[in-house]
Amino acid sequence: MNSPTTLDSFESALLTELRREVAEHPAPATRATTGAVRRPERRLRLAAIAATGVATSAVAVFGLGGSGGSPAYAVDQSADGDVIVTVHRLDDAAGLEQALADKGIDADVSYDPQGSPDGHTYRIPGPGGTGPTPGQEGGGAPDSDGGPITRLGGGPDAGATTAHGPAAGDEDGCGLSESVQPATLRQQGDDWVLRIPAGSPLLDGRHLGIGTTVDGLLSVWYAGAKPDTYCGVVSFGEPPD
Amino acid sequence: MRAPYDPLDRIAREPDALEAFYRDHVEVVQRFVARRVSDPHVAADLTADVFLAAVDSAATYDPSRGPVVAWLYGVGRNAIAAEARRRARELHAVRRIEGRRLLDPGSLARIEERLDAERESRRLYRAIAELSAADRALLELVSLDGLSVADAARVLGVKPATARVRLHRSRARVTARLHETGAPELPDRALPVEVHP
Repeated sequence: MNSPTTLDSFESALLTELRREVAEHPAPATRATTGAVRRPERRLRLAAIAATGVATSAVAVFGLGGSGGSPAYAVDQSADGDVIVTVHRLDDAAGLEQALADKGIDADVSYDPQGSPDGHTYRIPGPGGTGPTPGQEGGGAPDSDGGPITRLGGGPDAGATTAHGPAAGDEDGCGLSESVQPATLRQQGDDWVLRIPAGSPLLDGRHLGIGTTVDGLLSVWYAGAKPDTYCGVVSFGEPPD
Repeated sequence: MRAPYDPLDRIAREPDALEAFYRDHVEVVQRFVARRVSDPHVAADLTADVFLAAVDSAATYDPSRGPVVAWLYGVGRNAIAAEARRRARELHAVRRIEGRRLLDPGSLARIEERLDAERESRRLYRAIAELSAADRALLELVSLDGLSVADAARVLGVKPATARVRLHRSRARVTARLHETGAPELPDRALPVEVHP
C-alpha cells in the first residue's frame, strides 16, 4: 500500500508488541484456509467466556422464537411450475435465502428488526433527487381493484401504478405489462404468500429481495430489466375472496 | 514483486513478515479507525485490536476474493464490532495489547489530527447507524472506506448484484435521514451516485 513510513512512537511501540505476540505465539504452519472472514480469535475467546450468561439468554430467546419446531417459511413448487413462498414468521432469513437459492432464485432476505425511519420506501431518488414518499407507507387502503402489485420503479410516475388496468408499457423493465405477472404477494391469516408464476422473469435470474417495513409488513422487490431499476411487490391486506 | 507477507498467513508466524505488513497498512488502519471513533485512546486500542485480529485471521485471506486492504477492512469491522459488544456488555475482557498504554503526547496529537480530518466521515457513520447491520456494513465499506462494490461484496460474502441493490436502498434511506436532521449535503464520495458491481 504505502512505502514504509516513519513510525511515530505509538506506532513503533505497537509494532514491537505485535512482533512479540507473533514470536511468542506463532500460528501453526498449516491452517485451514476457508474463505470466511469471520473466525474465532484467540483474544475474543476471553470475551466469549465472560459473556456466557448473556449468550445463553440470547439463545433462549431465539429458541422461544422458533419454538415447537414450526418452520418460519416454506418454499414449494406447484405442478405447473409456480414457486410459492410462504412466510409464517419473520425469522430465519438466511434459511429462506438458501431455500430460494435451491430453487435457482437469487434472493436477498433481510428482516430488519429496527426498520428504518422511512419505512419500506426503497424508491431510488432519481436525477432530480426525489426522495422517499412517506404518504405512501404501508397500512394504507387496499388497491381499489384488489391488485396486489404496486410498481415502485425509478421513473417519474413511479410509486402508484398498479399492475392492473391499462398497461402503460414497461418503461422501467418491471415486466408488469407482460402476460405473466412477475409475482403476487398476499397476506393470508398470519402468513405471507409470495407466488412467482412459472415463466416469471424472477425465475430467470432476476435478483429478488425480501424484507420488512417498519410496520411489520413483508416487502418484496426485484431487479427490473433495465439497469438500476427495482420493482416492488406490495400487498395491502387480505385479498378479496 | 511478491510482498514479504505473501502468502498472508506468514504474518501470523514471522515477525518480519508482520512488520512489513504493518508498515504498509498502519496508516490505512488508523484512518479506518478514525472514521469510526472519536476518542484517541479508544482509537489506539482499536488499532491494536485490528492488527491482532488480522494476525489471528490471516489464514482466512484468499487473494482471489479481493485485495488485502479489503480483507483488512472486513477484519477491522469485526474487531470494532467486537469492541462495541464488549462495551455494551460492560465486559472487562483482558486485552492482549492495550493500545492506549503505548501512547505518548506526540502520538496522541497525531491521532487527534487524524480524528479531526475524519470528522465528516463520522457524521455519515452516525447517519447510517440506523440501517440494518448488513446494509450498514456495505455502505460503510463503499462510502466511507472507498472499496469498490465488488470488493465490498466479497468482504461481506454477498453477490455483487445483492450489494448493488442494498446500496441503492441504503442510499435512499440515508439521504432521507440526513435531510430530516437538517444536515448539510454530504460530499459526493460519501454516497455514491453510480454503483457498479
